[in-house]
Amino acid sequence: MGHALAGGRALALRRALTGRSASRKRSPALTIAQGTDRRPEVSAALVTKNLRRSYDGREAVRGVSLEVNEGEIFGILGPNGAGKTTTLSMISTRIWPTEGDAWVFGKHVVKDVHAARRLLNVAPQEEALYPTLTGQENLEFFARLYGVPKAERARRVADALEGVELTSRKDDLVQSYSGGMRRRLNLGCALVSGPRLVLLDEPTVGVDPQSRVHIFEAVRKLRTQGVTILYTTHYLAEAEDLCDRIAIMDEGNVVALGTVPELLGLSKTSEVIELRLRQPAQRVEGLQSVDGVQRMEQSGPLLRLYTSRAEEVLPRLWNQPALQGKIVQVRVSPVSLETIFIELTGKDLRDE
Amino acid sequence: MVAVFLKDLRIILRDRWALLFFILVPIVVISIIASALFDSDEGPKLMVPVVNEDQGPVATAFVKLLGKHADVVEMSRVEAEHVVRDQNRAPAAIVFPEGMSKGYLQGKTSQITLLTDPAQAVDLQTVKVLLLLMDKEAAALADPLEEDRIALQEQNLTGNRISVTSFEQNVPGFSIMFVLLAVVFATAMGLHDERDWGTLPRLLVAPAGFTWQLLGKLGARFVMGVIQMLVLFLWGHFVFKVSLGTSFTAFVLLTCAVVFVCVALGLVVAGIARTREQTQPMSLAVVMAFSALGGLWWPQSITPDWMRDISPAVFTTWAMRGMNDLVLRDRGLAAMAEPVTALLLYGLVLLAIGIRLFRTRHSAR
Repeated sequence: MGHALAGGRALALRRALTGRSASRKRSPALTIAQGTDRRPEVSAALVTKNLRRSYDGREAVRGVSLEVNEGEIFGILGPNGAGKTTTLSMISTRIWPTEGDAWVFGKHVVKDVHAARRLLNVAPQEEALYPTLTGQENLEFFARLYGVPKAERARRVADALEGVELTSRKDDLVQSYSGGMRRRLNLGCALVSGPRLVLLDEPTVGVDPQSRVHIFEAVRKLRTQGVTILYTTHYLAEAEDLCDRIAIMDEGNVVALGTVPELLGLSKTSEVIELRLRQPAQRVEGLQSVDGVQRMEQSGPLLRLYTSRAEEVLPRLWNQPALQGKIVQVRVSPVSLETIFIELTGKDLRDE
Repeated sequence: MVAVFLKDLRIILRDRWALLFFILVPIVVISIIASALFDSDEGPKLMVPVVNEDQGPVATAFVKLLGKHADVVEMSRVEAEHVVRDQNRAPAAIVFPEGMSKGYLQGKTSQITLLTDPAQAVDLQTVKVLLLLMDKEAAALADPLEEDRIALQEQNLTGNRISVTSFEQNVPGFSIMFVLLAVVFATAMGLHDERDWGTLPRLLVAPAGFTWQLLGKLGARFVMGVIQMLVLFLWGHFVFKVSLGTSFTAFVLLTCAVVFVCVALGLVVAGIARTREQTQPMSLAVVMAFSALGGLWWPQSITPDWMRDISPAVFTTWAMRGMNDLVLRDRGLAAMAEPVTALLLYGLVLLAIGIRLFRTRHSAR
């Protein structure tokens, strides 16, 4: 299958195509042979091929090609405005691609839209609930909307309530729910139809820690049930913890794709040395030229030095005059997804 | 305070369409009402069919006198009955009986027959005043001391009653207006609610097509509108003795047709207005314009010619026509064929336009 590349093959291809130079970072992670219009194999939960979407001449998504396997949690990580929601909207059939194709379990999202819709459900970024109905009534409505048979409906609603841990509040009006509870119910409404593919658009934005945990548990439970999840987020830790594979998006492109270890392997460095100083350091630019230091970042009294040989670099740093007597804490950690993200996009997600 | 004032002003001015409607609505409504009520100095002349079976000098003189105040059209009795009973184009026809001139000139009281449509109560009253005036003027011409030589016999062509109550004249128009107001507002706002609650995107990607969902939403509003209208009329029936016609089925059928158009109109308003701020004045404009043009507030006979000419293109005209046939003329199911057909066609066209507007705005493209 010419365009259905995933996992290690995808990563290898990306490396071969993009290398690591900054000028190539905007290239799509997977380059697809143009002109093929073959239907993907049904085993793939989702295949997108060169998806593009423009708004008033501005290209929000610039050729996204992905393959999501059945039963996996696939994350799309990127800053706000990266094109995550637009990509999700095209997959959910909310908007049509300006160019390109997408298939949900082999059903084309434009040509076979009704069949595709029956296989998926979406929890939009904004709450999409009826405030003057109870939690249970909301779920019952969405179950009916998606044609859940009457005989199954009560069970599905009960399962969804249990899944998002709202059974005890099922008879309360949604307008009396806390923000976190609404987000959980929002997720529940996407699950009640029993979809094979669930699209979750930033489901934990603005959610309290307790509700966040509930949402994570619900998502993990879905995976055990074989449900495929496409999960967009701009929280690195979330993507790292939850997702089997992650596509990093920036400015409408997928700039990297793979499992977390595969993505980490993309980095030029393997470790980060964090030095906390007594006060914001001055005249530390010279540290960049210390043998073994590949990159340095400074944030107030915190210095981050990226390297592949921390044990060799540390003694050299210790002897630097600019740091003499100023270090209060040293921490060495392996390179994180955040490092990769910064390397690939030149942006820090925490700045978003 | 200044900051809040400026911020609110900025928000208000930003929605240009809402601002336009805000200004335009009162101008349109005031213009329509002013045109309807005060379009000319003299007001429109009432059409009065005259059946001149007398053909004598007195009848001729009466016709001439009447002609000063009304648009007198001489015709046969059959034609006059058709105009009053079937077409409802005139509130009454005057029949000058054979031999009236002879009796009148001999000083005997002459009997004039008035073939009436009591449903047009206000205009019928005007015709009676005209007859009184005619009698006085004729008597003054002949002998200033002689008066009251005319006896009037009324014959109702359109029902069993000679007169209708004030409630019966006002309940249909105002009930339809309130249903129109409630249904158009509720339908248009209900669709905006989906947008505000964020549920619209979810509905748009559901396997049940959006058109069917729209129809489901409209169906709920339709049922509520029908219930409202039925309650209003039943209240009028039991409390104010307002007639509901000879067929309750006909009444329910007409009610459903009227509410169907109102719901479809609400959809069109929601399809055009992009914000809540635009929806409110636009709904108000639509309700008031249709009320005024359709004769919900006053008889169409008092409105200027241009307004009467366009009235068949306004669905409220057909709603009022049907309701007057039921409530004031005691007609049944057969009389509903024309107004109900017109209303259904009207509603279907509006529904198609409304769905089209919504689909264009919210389609996946």
